Amino acid sequence: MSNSSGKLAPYIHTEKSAPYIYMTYLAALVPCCVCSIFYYGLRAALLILFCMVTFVLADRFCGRLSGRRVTGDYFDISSLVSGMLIALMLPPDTTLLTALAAVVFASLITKQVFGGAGSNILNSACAGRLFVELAWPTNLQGFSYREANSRLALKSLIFQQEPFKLPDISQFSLAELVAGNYPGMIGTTCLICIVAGGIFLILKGSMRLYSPVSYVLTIVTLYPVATLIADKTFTYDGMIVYLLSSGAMFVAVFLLGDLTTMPSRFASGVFAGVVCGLLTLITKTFLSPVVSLLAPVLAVNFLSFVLDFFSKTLSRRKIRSREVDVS
Amino acid sequence: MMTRSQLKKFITEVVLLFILGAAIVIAGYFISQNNAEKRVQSEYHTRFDSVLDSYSYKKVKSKALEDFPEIDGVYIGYSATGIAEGYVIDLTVKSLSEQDLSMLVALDYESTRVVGLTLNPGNGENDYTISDSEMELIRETVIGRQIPIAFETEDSSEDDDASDKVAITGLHDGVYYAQRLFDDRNKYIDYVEMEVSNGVITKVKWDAFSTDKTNQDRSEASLRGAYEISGLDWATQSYNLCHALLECQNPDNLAMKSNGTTDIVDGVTCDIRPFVELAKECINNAKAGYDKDDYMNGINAMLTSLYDKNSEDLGYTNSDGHIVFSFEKTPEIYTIYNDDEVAVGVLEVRQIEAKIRGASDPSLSLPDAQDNGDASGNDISSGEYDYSEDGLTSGGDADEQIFTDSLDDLPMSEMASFIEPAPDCYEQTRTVVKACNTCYKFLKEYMNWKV
Amino acid sequence: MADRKRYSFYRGLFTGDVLNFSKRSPFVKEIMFERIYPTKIILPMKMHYGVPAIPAVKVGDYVKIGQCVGIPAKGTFSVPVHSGISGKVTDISDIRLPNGILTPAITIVNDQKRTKLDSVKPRSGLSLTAKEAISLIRNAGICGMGGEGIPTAAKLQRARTESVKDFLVNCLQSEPYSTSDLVAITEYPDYVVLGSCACARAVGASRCIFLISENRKEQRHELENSLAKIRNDFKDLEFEIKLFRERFPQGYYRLVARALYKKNLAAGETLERSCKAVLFNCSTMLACWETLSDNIPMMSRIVSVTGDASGGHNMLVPIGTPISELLLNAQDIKNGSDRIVWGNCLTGIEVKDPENTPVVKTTSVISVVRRIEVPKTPCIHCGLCSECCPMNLSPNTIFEMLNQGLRQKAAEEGARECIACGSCSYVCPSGIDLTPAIASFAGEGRIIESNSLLDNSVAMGRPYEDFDMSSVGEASLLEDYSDNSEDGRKSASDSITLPFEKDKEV
Repeated sequence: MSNSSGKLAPYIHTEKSAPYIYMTYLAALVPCCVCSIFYYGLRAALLILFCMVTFVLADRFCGRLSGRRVTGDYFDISSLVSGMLIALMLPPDTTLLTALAAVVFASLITKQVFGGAGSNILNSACAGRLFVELAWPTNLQGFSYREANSRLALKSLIFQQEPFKLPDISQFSLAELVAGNYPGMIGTTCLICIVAGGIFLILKGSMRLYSPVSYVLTIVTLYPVATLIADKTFTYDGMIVYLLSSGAMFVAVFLLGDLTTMPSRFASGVFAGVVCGLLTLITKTFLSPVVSLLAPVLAVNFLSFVLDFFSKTLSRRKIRSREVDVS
Repeated sequence: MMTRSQLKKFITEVVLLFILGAAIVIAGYFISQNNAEKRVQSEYHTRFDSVLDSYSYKKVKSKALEDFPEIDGVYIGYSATGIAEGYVIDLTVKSLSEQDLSMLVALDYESTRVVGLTLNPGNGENDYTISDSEMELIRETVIGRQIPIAFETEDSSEDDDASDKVAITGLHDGVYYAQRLFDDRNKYIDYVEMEVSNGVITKVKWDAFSTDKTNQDRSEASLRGAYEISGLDWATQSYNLCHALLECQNPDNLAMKSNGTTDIVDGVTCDIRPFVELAKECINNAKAGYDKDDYMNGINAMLTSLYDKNSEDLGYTNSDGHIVFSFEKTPEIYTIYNDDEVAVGVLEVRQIEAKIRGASDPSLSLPDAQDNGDASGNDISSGEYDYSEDGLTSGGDADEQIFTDSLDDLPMSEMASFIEPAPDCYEQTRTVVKACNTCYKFLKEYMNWKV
Repeated sequence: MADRKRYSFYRGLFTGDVLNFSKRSPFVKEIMFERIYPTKIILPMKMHYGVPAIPAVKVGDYVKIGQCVGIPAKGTFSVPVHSGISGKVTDISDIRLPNGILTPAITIVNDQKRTKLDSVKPRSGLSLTAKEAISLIRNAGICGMGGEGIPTAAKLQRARTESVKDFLVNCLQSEPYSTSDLVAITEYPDYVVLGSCACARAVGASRCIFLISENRKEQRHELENSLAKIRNDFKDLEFEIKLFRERFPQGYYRLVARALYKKNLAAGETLERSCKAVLFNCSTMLACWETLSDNIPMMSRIVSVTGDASGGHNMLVPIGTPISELLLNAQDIKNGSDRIVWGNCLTGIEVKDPENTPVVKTTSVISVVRRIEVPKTPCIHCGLCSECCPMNLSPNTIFEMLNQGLRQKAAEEGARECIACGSCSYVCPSGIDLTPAIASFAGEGRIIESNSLLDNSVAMGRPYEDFDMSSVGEASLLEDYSDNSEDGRKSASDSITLPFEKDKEV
């Protein structure tokens, strides 16, 4: 401690810096992007780029507005991640205006107001997506598919398309659902891509498995109960279709696996995952699919704040009681 | 921020992920595409089996669809061997009461006849409902008809019966003939042969023989490829045109434009001026009872007046009995000159013969009206000429209706079928017909006339 | 070994981490093990946990290898200091060690003659009583070589009074890059084992347990072989090798307790009392056996010169060797701009003046690491620090509280528990210096706590004090090591176990 000059220990540092973590996120989302561009073509690519760029700009703008000093060389890659996440959760026929609204909301309200990158207690991508879903539900119905879907079409980016009636997903074969060959949010359809991204994140240590695993397990175990209560019927096919097509896997991997907004401890992480799964199953009966998928994530984000606090208090109490015993 | 090696490693990973993602997606796409195709086909089958039972269906992607917002989808049904069997058009039309009627119309691929009609289950509050029994009746009337469809009652009730039965009255029964008096660039001489029975033109033939007797007739030459024009081969065009005349009964109704072409006869792109002229001459002859033999005699008379020999003597008669002679060297014999010696018209053979023989023959100068009653009393239903033809004006139309009257924005002249509305459900039938006609309009644009 | 169970505490840095500790395995095989004879040594009088020894030589005196140059002051908690080279004393002055300790130091210039004291020779008879052994160890100046620096004799004595069951030998060198303990095992497995056995007997333990990482197969085999050789000689002892997962900082006694005994030791609790076990570093055991068998005082030790900017060198160096001399012998260190760290690179202290900074008894490693610029970003609340904190703290929360001046709250969060292992700073993706901030806070607190501990241990140590007083006179006779060691053997006097002193120890 007396060594006032120079850096103090430790003198080595993991290669996992914050930008690196966010970059692994970007990398993990690459397969999903490929998927979206393959199926929806140029407009998906433009949508993703647009969201990323506007998110960065919005962050810069907000940062300047709030007068927070951002160190010059520090480029907040989390903006790119959030932008990409938002874009991947949009339907293919979303106008840039709607995307912009989502991005601005996410950046301004959920990120910068809480104090910038990492300080947000809510997942900004999730919040932004949910905001546009609630504000303009009709603007997010453009799922052009098959014949109506042209890879080069760009019109939908500017002009609001007619809401496209989604075909009954349950008619799709398993192969299609797994491969992502069905209409849905541009990046959330391909299970294998999502899982590949998830595995990459786990290998890079940029993701905690507690919440995602418990979330998926909760849905798998309680889906029969939920549907039996709601519809009096249950089929395994229905469950698999729901799990694959609703975007639940995407949410599990990329929203619940987030380091920043999810609890860091095992118990609270599992608890959060279970709660999120439960809320999704409950709200799915009376809310729109996207809302029932994303709103629980935000709820759990709030919860994780509280949860981490509680789990700490509990462990501290244990320490204290032991101290008492000793003395 | 990151060391170079770290960055390099990272970029490698990203590239690998990209390749992996692409591999997954493309492989997944092709693996699942088969399934998707099957599922889509089975979906199509459940939807379309009631109207058109095909082995497979394929959705039509066309720019033409953009102009038809009421059409939800157009599908072509194929047989197991891949032959197109028909169209299925899924569309929603507005009824007269501005309600939505969503239905499937199936059309035969070749003849564009309606082969199936079915209603889609309603999906909105503003649905136009047609009961099953009504639909059955409508089916009976509509199925089998060629589109576009119009109502008999609607059209004919508005028109004067007399005016639309026979376009030209006063035709004498018999076989009439007219040929041009000079050859064209290709050394062909056009001729038209027309048969009139009961005051109605029942047979028309337009062809041309070559002044070079060794050559074939034009129709034969065109079929063998020796005579080529743009569009369909000349023989077919000629056939089409003759049929068109049979239906409209009046060369004026062929709507010849100033450049000698017509728009309203499908598949006819050639210059129809010779035909129209010759057909008119034939009709004039028919009115005058100046039949083919008279005509031949007329030409012989012309030859005799010029050369003092008839055609056989001159050797101008070919094996078919046509007089193969071009009067181009002696235009004065058929040209009408005004006072300034400027050519203003062409005389018909009958008139020339009359001129040669002096205007003493009453049969030539006086129109013979003795068959008028026959002709007017002969009820020629327009429906009799349907089906085989390609969207031509039916014979029942009056001349002035061609451009003035229309149904569903289609000129009456295009109407292929005329039906009676199903009993007690005029509006329902009308809505279905509207749907059918919408299909026609789409096909017209989509197929670009190549029916 | 029959026992295939892997022990570990929960959390901590995993071997699979980016640091990739397993990278060291090949190093161990190719370790360059060298003996260094430096041109001069600087012997600080305080290299242990306790009060400084008093220089027993004057400037100009000639000292031999093994000669005692610093003796503990009368009645103080201290250990003697011995010279590892022969030569002339050129200077006795105060120096400041990198950890901030101001201590008198004796500078000896090497005459390169390697004149040994006569007494430094294999001992003939090995029949020693426990008291004799402990006294020998005390007089040899042995203190905990893993880094704690507590005089081994005192620790042995305390273990004896607590009548511990398990004698644990810590072979878990989990600090990044450092391999000195592992080299000690590879090179002198018999010495380590024998030293452990002797000390285990001295404290009256019934079990002798070697704690070793599961990845250190080579060392494990060496130990097993050695154990097989001596098993028959120590029938009263039960031997065991326990495999541990390779995690940092596994060697810390509280974490060993957690892993082996499933007990969470609160600050102030001792392994001896709570778990009836005592933990010694394997290098210490090596030094003990050298003393007991060969009469060699603690005058040299194995030091790793290592780091990401250097290969893995292990050198047997006289204590007091300036770091610059060490680095001279590590040929592969080229870049002068690299950071030289006194200790391992997670918990060590940067050395600014390698010329005058000596290797001390507790220095197991000199790390040479590249200067890295960690990008500083705001905390992203990733929770990685709390995930790896071996003491189950939330460094980010504590850091935030300390920043806002909420010291009381930080203490409630358990900030005082911090063992300054450096894990949180290491993993922090935002490059926040968590460890220095929290450790300094904890360090301030520990003074208070060790004061309270002092009270306890005074009560605890009181009975010996009277006894010790009688032998203080003999302790002052430590003018010459050889005399003393003979005396110590004969008198079999017990060590002076004074209460732990309030100290400035980091």
